[in-house]
Amino acid sequence: MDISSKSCVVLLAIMFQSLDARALQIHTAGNTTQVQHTRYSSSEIPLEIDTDWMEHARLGTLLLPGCAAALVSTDGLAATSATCLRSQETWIRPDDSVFVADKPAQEQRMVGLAAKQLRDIRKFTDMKDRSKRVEAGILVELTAAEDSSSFTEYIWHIYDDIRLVMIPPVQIANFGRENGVYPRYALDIALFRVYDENVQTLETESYFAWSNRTPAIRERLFVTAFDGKEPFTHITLSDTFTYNGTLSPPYTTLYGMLDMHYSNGTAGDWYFPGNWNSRIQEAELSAALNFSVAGECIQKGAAIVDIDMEILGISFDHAHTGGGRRCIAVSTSSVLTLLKSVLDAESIAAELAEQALE
Amino acid sequence: MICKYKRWWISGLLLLLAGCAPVPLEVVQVINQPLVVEEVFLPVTSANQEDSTHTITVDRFDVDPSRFDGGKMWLFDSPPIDWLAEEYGINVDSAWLAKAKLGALRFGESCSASFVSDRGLILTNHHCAREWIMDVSVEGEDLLEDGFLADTVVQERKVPDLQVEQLLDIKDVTHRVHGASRIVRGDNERIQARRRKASEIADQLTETARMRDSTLQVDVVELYSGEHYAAYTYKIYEDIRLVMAPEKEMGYFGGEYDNFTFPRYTLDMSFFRAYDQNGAPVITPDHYVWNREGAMAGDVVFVVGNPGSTSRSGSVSQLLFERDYTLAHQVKALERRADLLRPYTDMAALDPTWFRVSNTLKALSGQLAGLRNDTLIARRSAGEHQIKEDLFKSDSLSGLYGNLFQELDELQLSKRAEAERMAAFTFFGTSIGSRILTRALYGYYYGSLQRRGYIEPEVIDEVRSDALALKNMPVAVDKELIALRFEEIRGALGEKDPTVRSLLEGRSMDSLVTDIVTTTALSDSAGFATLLEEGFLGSTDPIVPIISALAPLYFNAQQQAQSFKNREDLLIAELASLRFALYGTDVPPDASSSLRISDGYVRGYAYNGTHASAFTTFYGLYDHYHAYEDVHGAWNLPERWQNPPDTFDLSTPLNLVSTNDIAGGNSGSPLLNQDLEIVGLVFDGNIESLSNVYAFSDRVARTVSVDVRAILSSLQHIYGAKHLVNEITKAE
Repeated sequence: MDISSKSCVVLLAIMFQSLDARALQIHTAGNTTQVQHTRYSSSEIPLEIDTDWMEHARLGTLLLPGCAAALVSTDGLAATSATCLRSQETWIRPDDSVFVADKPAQEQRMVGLAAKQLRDIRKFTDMKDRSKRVEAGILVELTAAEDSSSFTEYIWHIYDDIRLVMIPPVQIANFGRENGVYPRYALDIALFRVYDENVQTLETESYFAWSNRTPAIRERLFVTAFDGKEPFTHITLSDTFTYNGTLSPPYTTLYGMLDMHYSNGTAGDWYFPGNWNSRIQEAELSAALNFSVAGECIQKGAAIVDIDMEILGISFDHAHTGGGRRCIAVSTSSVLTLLKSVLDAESIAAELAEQALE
Repeated sequence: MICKYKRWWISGLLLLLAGCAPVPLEVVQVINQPLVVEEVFLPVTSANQEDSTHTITVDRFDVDPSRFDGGKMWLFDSPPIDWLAEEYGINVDSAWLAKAKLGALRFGESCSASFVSDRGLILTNHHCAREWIMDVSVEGEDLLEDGFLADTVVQERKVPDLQVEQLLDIKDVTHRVHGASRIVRGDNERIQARRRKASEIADQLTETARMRDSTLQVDVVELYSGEHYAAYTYKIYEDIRLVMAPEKEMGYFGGEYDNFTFPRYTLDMSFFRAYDQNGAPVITPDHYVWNREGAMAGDVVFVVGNPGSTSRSGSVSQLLFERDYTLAHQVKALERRADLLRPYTDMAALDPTWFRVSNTLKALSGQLAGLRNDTLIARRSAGEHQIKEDLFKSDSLSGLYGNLFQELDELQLSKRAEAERMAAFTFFGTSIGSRILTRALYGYYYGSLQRRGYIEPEVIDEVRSDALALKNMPVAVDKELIALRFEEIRGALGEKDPTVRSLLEGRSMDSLVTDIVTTTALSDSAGFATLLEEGFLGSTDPIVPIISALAPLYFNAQQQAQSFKNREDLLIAELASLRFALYGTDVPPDASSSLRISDGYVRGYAYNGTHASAFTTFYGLYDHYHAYEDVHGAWNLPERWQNPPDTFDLSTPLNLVSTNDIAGGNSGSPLLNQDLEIVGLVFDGNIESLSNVYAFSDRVARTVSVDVRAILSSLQHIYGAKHLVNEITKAE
């Protein structure tokens, strides 16, 4: 199938292998027009996406228990949904407050939490070809076809030194305490850092550059995550996303967050903890907070990236709309301004900004 | 507004103004243009159940009918005193009612307004003022786009032909009107007799009133579908001047998309001033006082304004006819016109037309969605069933009204049989159609009146001035509209119809229409005026033979429609009498484009899987401005708003919602607290309120207003209109 000839295809799933339940998928997503979810095997990869692109995306995507995450710097910094971290049994902070480590020494290890990186996929037909020796930190998962005619090995690198870098207060990550709706105003994102076996930050070239922009209308994007389900097939959705008698906003902004706060009388589900109210006013209020794309997120924490491997969002929820099911994401563009103006995390902001492409 | 008595002259001439189309809010903008005709019901060829282009959420009713299904638009001379005491603990007395009444105004033919200072300052909506703002723009100005502010009273601009009316007094004249029709036989004759009598009484009372004050005018208002008539004495203000209007981008922020929706961020306001006959601002001690603090969620609020009619009081069979024929066809016709006009929306000259078409389409689509909601029909059916049960408990009532519902049902069958040939003329001759055809229809009508000879000259003059008031339209668009209408006529009547054949005379549609637009004098108003003077029907203009073939068909259809309507009006009047006999004044009569008061609460509602707060703020305005930047210009901000000064507090409430019952004509109404202070300016209903035209519900249907705090802070900090703020708030 020639994807380049289809201007309106907005969701494309590329799968590396179809045998294992946890095979990595990459989906393209946009927010308008005829939506198709197509799953591709490596032999059918669209022209713009080559095997290098695929490998880069695979290595840049981490698997957490039940969630995905994305590497966002050369020094092992990674982003996921805040809900993903707080839902872990190993959650190290019993309270709901904010945590920011602007220096590596302040980072807090999340004991018991491991992130897995899918290093390689090996296919063979003879069991003699299976991996003989496994290095420390490497996990090999072997799967067999139903008739045992072929086998696949998934080679995972397990990182078990995961340290929390930034998580907003629960009230901000879940602002409004809303579920399954869009427009939305939630900063449901957290940052952590991956350390290697030598207690050094993970050095990697396989990361997604932090973007300070919002998706363009009809832009093709990719959702990177691990899917435990059967392959996606066409889901056809309506070609415009109308809601509430009007057109849904392509994204919401920090202005909208303040609107919700004041519209709802500054209390209850829409209150700002601590000094968030006064500090947020110093941020670039037109920065995008949340956006939605047609189709599935697959997992919370899945990265939404563009063709240049820039990361534009971290998914955290779904919404059922008149235009069908949509994936809702925190926009990366508001994170930089909030790190600077609210969280006093200049060096994290700088680290993310340095990775951004020109 | 829709069914003003002064327009009823036309009905005697078969060119029938068919009365009140059941449309809410801005739809009246369509109805109240200077038109030849407006349709009430034009049945269509077939039921069409296809979904419209708009996705509309409808209010999901409980099936049980409620006390307020008929609504809460109360009359000033029989207010629900017990209900207000019981529900809100408010004891209204005559002084309270007088105060509530005197501050309110009827603005133009389709809107409401209020006095907001003791020097005749008037507050209404921006969308009620669009035409007037354009009319006072001089060469080189575009005040609709750029806004207007008079720094001093001498800069205020007089609006030609704008009239504002203040209700002073209400008097029951039912016995006088009914007395006239008691001996008249026949449905049509009786209804005509009543209306003639009502008009006669209005004239007499006006004459008497003018002896003491030449600015007074008395209208006789029909209530409970003719069961009651009341004489309303108005003070008329004819010198009205524009004081302040925001830029269109603020007054219509969110554009067509956000119309009929909430959450909303629109500064839909404008200010005018009434002047007396000596050219001085009128002294208005009865104005409403401004409440600078606004309202809070949970507060009791009142809307005082002039709602038009609804479709809450008819029979279920009528609703089904409307669902399957009238409304379905209107929506289709509007969809075709919206598709046609969409590529031209950048043309300023088409702006009012596009606004009317898109606005009406959204409203009617919402109503149609309401009718296609089975629970609404079930609820209305349950209400009707209750009436039937109560009716048959009484021998005397069942003797009088026993066949009523059956007659209504049978009437719908007759309407259905005529639907085919009426289909082609939906919205024909209105301001949303081809100017050439509409002018031709005027020309035909004007010529016919002159030939008959016995028509009063002032009637002819009025037709003439209405005809010449039609504004020009780009010929390329007009051409497409003519072609569309001809296609509709051909579709409804068939290729073999003699009129269709004579129309085309073997030519292709394209060559016919090209012929017309290249040679007719009717494409601009000056050419039309000349032709009208010289004798339109005797001229060689190519449109003359065409309109001479179409007009009789059209007038026939209108006559048939009017005859159905007269019959239906009478049956509905009987139904109203029956209801009245059963339930008395516990239920207010349907709205009548005259002053009503409606109670409610400031209250949010469940929406979009979450909760819509009762208020929005200016932060939301900027959220939308940035979010939609690359999508559509409807959420653009004028330059002065793009970087507001630091003194401007963005957390100021901008719009709010309340549970009051409103209908088309309420635009511009004040939203008042229980002390009758202004806390908002009504400008719309949410998308869930569209189906309220068939049965009132306040579960999720809401009235949308501009918050007073938004008005004041915009005037003060953005427009530099401190003098207006001082005048309104009485500060020095």
